Amino acid sequence: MIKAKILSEYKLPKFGNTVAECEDAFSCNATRNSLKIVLADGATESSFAKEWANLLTNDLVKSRSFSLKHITGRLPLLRNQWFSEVTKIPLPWYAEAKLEKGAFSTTLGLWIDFKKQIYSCVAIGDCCLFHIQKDDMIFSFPIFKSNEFSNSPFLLSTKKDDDKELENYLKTATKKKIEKGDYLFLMSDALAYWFLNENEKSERPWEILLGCLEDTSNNAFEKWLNEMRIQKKIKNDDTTLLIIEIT
Amino acid sequence: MAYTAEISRQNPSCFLFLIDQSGSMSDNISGQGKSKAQAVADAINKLLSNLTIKCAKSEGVRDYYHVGVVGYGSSVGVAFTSGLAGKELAPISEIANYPARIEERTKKIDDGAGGLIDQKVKFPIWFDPKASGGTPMTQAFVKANQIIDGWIENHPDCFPPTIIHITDGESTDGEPTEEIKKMVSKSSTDGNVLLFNLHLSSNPNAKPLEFPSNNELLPDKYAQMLFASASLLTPFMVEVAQTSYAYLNVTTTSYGFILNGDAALLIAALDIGTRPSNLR
Repeated sequence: MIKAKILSEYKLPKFGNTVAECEDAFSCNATRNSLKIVLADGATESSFAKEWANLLTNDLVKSRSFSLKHITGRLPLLRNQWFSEVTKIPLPWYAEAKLEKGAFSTTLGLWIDFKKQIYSCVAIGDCCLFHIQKDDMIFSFPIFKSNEFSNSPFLLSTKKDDDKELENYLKTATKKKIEKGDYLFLMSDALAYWFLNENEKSERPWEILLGCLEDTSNNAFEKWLNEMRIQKKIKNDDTTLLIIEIT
Repeated sequence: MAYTAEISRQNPSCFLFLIDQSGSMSDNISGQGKSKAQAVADAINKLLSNLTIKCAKSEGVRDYYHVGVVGYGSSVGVAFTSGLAGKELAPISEIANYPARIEERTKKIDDGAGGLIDQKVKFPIWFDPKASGGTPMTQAFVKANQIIDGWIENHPDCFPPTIIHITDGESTDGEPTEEIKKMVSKSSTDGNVLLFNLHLSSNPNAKPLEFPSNNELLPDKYAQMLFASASLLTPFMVEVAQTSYAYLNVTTTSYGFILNGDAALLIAALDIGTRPSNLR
């Protein structure tokens, strides 16, 4: 039987924004036999996206399934919760108008089964998972090449009209084998774009990220990320990174 | 590379509207039963509303932009009223909080069962139409130059200011070319000021023309002058136009110039002109 150890959980706002303004969210649910992690990246263009991303991660991480049927079954309840939460107090005219446009978020779910030594994942949008085994990237999900990123991925919306196309955009991968010594990297799009791009150049981006963990006293990852943002090698965007080691 | 500065609350950009409020703006706009002044007021109110909504986040309105409006007609001056009176450039959060009034209007929406139902929406108004006096365009640009000088001095690295000038085109206080040249020669470290000229011409030979690449179809010297001073669209504006307004046939050689558009084109042009780049 394998185990999974979460080596790092980073959630950093865009450079210049406050931590409270970060619209990424993630939730973890560990039991004796499994680990579930759900990551979501609320869209900057919408308002109340952080609240939507939080609701999605907190709900999906407790679910018994990552199937389309299960997700579409939960959405009406989550949308009602979101609407109740954001309209607790009267809103000014512009917030009311923006609310009507809805909130949007990506979602990436990971489910590791320790006994069977497999994992499954589900994604809507462009948060990514990368599986590293023996110093090689053996699986990338749901995006395989850096040129597949776009400025307007399909996102989970608080508006029910947008569900019609959900089945075309929901990606799943099931029963992927995993071994002791492997690493899983989960990350939001800006960092994922860099990660895939580096891998395509035969670099080992996982080594850089694992290297940041060794220097925990000085916020090494945050410093490295901000330097990469200044050099315009990584887009200035909210950034989440979770690294899981299989033991 | 020019026009790539990130627009943020720490490094905001600005929009300055120059609105012709001369007597001739009471003429009807092409193809519609409302005056040019009314169409311009409607378009600016809609634009300010859209800009505010774009900058609205859960905690309030983020000041990505500062916005000013200079009117010129019987006088030249700042056109904001009520809580914004006297402000040459106001942060977008103040604009959000101080419309002159908020009207309730009705719009049709899908009822989800194949029909349409009425929905009440709040429609903020900052400007009412105004049309009187001459067309002191030169003085308007003198005032605009002074406002933009102050802005650039305080925001040297900003995404360059965008000036949107709406006029029927016949200056009555002399040749404005020198003042307009001064405007487009100003720059931040990210590029030159961007000038859009939206020309609501009274010339009967003026055919509607949007974002042209050359001056071939322009009917008179006023249109020529306004086209010649308009800026080339930035790559992001071209992308927005090609994605959201494909029917306009905008290309990388298109200039920020519109001749005799209807009210819908006026609104489309303002949308393109006020989308300089992605916000942080």
